[in-house]
Amino acid sequence: MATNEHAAKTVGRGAGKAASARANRWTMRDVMTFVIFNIVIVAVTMVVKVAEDAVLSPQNTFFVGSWLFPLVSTPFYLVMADRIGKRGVLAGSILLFGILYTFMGGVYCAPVAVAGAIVGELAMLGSGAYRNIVRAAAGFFVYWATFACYGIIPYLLFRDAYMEQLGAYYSANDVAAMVAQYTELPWILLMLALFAAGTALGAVVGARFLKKHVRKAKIA
Amino acid sequence: MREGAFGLDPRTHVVAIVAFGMASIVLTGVLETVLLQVAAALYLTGNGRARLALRSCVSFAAACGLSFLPLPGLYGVLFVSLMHMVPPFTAGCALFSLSPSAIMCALARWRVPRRVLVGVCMLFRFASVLPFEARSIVRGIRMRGIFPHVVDVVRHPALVYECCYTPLVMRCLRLSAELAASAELRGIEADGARTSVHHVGFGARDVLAAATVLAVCAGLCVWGKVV
Repeated sequence: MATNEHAAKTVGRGAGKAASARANRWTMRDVMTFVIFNIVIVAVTMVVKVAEDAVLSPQNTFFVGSWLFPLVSTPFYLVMADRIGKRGVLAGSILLFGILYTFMGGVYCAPVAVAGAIVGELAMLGSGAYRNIVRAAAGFFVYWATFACYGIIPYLLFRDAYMEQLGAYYSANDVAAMVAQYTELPWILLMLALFAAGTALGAVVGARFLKKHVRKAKIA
Repeated sequence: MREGAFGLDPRTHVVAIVAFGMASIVLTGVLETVLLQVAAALYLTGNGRARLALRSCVSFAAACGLSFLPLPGLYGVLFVSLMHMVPPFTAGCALFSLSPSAIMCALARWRVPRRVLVGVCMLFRFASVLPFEARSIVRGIRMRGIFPHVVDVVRHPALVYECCYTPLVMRCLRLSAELAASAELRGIEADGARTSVHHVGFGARDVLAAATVLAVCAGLCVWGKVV
């Protein structure tokens, strides 16, 4: 009798695991949603970046882009996370952005993206994390922290080469001031704080839009 | 079916992108960067994209010219960074302009999971559709007369964002469901090896091309350090 009960429990546990694995398996619709929304997030970020670069000097873009990029893209991310709601959304998004940067000439971005993806997915452990606005937004901050590292890492690895490149065109003082924004700890912390503020504000806007437009339309 | 005189495998293009990308970071002088762009343009021309190579050279020349403008502060840094991004992007065009079928077939031979293959294919397909969708949204906003004057756009940025966000999200959600259904109907989930009418296969010419690209990039880097 006890053996039968034990066997039933084992079978039940196995069936539960299989059901959980099936529930976490990405469908074709999830893959399409993931790719389409990530392209939109990258495109929106690029449009804002181009507009910002056209208006502000590199020393000043630091103070605007750091909160503006997450502010405009977080509402899109929340819809994607809410619709897919499975493990791997954040890690995949970080990797996709990293691969795009790699193909655009930033080869150093690939290992940074892998590290960011691991940290991001660890931050999203637990069931229902992607459908929880606060947790999804906190996870998306990791996405932007990784993005910040795309700016910081080349300065740490290739600082001399970069300064030499710019030194042919600009004064050494201007170049040193800009490089300091990406290499000195207080500046880096300020950048991360701005990213966090932008993500939080974007999450507030995104949650409102999600309720007002997307869930009401019943297509998510 | 081979693309251009070289007719290389998509995986060789990945090697070329990495090589040109690394060289672009290491090189500091203008002359070496110009030579790197020439090498990347030749690579792209050899892969049957002569017009694209010419266009990339024009973009490079424009970025190079703008970087010498006496702009206040560091406004021109953008152009210097852009100039250094053009050579790897030029080599990347050999990959981006390939048929998604060839890319999917090459990745399938690397045992890349099917879901990732579909994602890569969609990346190429949807990226070209997005400008069309954006134009449709702008046209819809104009037709409804929401922002009659350009000044209104500047005065109400939050409303502009909401007016663009809502239709774009709705369109993306619908499109993903429709495309997924279409892909499943066309047998995307079918088992079996993927084939392509385009040439896919890592052969002697790929090894030679990859070795040449690596040698050129390494040579320019060494020359740049010596000069």
